[in-house]
Amino acid sequence: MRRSDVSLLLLLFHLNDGAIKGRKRIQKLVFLLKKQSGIPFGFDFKPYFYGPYSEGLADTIQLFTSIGLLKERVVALDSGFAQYSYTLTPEAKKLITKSKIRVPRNFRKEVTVLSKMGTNELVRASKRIISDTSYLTPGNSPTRLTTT
Amino acid sequence: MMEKAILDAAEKNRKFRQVIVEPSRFTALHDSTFQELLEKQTPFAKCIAKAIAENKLYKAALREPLRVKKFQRIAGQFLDHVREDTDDAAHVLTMKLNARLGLAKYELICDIIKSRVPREINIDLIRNDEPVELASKSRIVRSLQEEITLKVYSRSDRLLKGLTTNQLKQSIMHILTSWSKS
Repeated sequence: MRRSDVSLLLLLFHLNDGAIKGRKRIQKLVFLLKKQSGIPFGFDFKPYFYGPYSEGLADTIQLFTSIGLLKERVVALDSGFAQYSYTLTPEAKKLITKSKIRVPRNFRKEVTVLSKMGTNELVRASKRIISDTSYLTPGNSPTRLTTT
Repeated sequence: MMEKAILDAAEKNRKFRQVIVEPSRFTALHDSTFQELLEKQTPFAKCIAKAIAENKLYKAALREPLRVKKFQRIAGQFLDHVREDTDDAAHVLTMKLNARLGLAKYELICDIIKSRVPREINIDLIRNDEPVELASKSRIVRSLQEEITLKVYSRSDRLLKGLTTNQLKQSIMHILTSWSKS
């Protein structure tokens, strides 16, 4: 049975000191963890203008916010974008502590490496992988933009 | 109510199931013929069809925002299920809750309702060759939050009188803590 995406995602936030700034950053972190580091996330990614994007992952972040596992903060930037920041709530921290999540062997190490990279660097790395893996097939082309 | 009556009938009658899954046959039905058809099915389906016609609907037994503050030990597997198929998660919860409380199938019906919030709206105004997101311009859009509500309905008043809200919540909590899809 595959590990729960929910558990892995909570763990990702936990290993990022409980907060991740930017939807784009979350998307690229999960993509790179899945494709580059072999972490068994189940999310499917498609190419978009800012690199790979998963609707399932976006829905899960929305679900986490709705049920009170993540606190969302939205700031309007001068550039015309809205920046979304997500922080683990005290309830989520309790859930992580109480539940016995089996951590994949290289998860902690890989997250530490990726967390040191800037978002633009993550985007570049993700785009390299997605173009290498022939995602750009007819009917699977970039159709929309992702935001921060 | 209607959904559960249909499910019950479809589970036991292959011919009825064919009517439901074939668009041309299903759309040929209208309210009264469908009602009559349902009344010819299982005792449960018949009972529900009649109750709907007589406006004797299930009573609201619980309405609670589905938040970890209230349901503290919610299992990751349950959240995965809600994420993948909310209606199916509600159906499985219905079956488990009735079984746990020793009730007949569908004595209680659970529903998980998500309010709709737009994920992203881009407006035509272009800046730096990129469309501008509405959330960057509107506080209202930024403050919209999705809510997920758990609702439980009861078939009979008698059941509601014998079952406290707390007992109901405790049972749901127990199920959500040790969730499995089947």
